[in-house]
Amino acid sequence: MRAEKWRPCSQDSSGRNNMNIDQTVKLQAYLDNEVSSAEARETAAWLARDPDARQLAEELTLVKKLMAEGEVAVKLPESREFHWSKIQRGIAQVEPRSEVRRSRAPWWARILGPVAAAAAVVLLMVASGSFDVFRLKSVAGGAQEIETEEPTDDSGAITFRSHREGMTVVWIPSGR
Amino acid sequence: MRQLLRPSIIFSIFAFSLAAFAQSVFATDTAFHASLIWGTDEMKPDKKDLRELDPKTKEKLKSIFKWKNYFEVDSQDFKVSTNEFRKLKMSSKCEVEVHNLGKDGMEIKLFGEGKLVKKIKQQTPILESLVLAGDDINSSAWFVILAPITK
Amino acid sequence: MSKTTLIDYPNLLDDALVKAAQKGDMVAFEELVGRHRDKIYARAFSMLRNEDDAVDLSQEAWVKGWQRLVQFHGDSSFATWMTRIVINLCLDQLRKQKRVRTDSIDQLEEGMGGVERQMPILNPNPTAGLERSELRQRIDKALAQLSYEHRTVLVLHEFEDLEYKMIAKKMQCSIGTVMSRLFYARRKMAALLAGLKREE
Repeated sequence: MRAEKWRPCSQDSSGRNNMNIDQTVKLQAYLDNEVSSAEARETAAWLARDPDARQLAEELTLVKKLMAEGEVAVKLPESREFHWSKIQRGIAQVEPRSEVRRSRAPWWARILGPVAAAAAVVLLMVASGSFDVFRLKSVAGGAQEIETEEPTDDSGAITFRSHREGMTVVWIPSGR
Repeated sequence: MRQLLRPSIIFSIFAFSLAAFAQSVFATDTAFHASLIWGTDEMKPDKKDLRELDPKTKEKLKSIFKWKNYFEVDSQDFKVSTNEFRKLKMSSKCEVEVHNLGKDGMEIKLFGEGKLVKKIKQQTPILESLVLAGDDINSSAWFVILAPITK
Repeated sequence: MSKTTLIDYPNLLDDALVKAAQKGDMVAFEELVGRHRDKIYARAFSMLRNEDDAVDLSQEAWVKGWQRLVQFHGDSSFATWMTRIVINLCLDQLRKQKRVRTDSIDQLEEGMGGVERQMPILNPNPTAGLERSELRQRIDKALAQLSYEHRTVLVLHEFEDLEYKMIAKKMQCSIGTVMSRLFYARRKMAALLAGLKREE
């Protein structure tokens, strides 16, 4: 009959429950498929003859199985727009505007691109029938057309618009 | 031909002038609801000057920002006419100045402890809530919301 | 034609967005951020267990991702590649934190063999009959109680499917240390899950 409290790393040399840490981690490595085929055969044979080792293997397998059920679904606790605006600011800080990677489009596309874009803008303005409404929606990040100045620091503000909430936000970092 | 055109030109000039006059007289008073809000993950502290924020605004802020609780420090309704400005004291440290620039938009200045912290110029009329915000001590945040009051 | 008005970013696959972003298209990158932001944040949170730190680090990971985008060759999925970046940042952060704090009791015990040696084996399954969501909640609660070394090794092995060798490289320790940490982490998880059942 097995002892009530099983001690996998006990120093007891009575012949029972006397696996050392090397043996236990080897058992674990076997369960994780991290041993050679020779070691796997050796460990399988040991498991077949040692009920304590089998019990430990069952526990380790159970934890492994439970963890495989996955994680709690954690969501970013701020809006996509706010998160992106901070990332954009971070990118601008590490990569000055002049060094921002340019499109490797062919020369004709680089010339035609802006022309086509300008044409599209004009068409959209005409189609929308409302210049103000168009402007509100077209600015990168969707923020209303806003200019900001920071008289007291140079930390820079983040401006973005939450489309869902219909709010334009100017976030002023504390600079701390 | 010239005689035929003359009345229509005069009428057009008159109509244009009337429209411009109407715009300058009637369309320039802009009304806002301004509020100073404190965002925190803590429960409401035992401070008398904090009020529960209306649930709608609270939900809007919660969907954008990470803080769990939002309390109103102060709120005021005000109007500002073209080429005029209003300065509002929202708390002992926070003041907001709203300048109606007419067709050039609005200019908003934020003052912290009397010093100008931020100047914002918006070239279009403020059609929806404008939020000025920043982080505060102890992982909290402040929010100044300017919401246009629509009739 | 204007990219921002004519490309249907939300309907592009990650691969196409990555290619566009590699050419400097920020809108494509924003779409990638939008798609994977929760996953990247979740990984940072699982390792750091602090909301503010996890938000900051996931943001930093995206900035690094943008900077290193040309190095992405599609050997793994974009999400996996980004997850590796956030993991590395978390490990750096945890190492910095470790330098400024004293060893926890857990670490001392681990060095001496650990209380896990004395723990009775789990029998039967303490999570039997739980709904999947409840089970995940309980695992999360138990994970939060582990030392960061134990938690990290479990997250990397069980959630990220990394091999011992890769975990050792990332955690800058020997494979032996990874094996013993993983063993103690699992034993402690078992005990915590059993303890949580008793608390009910």
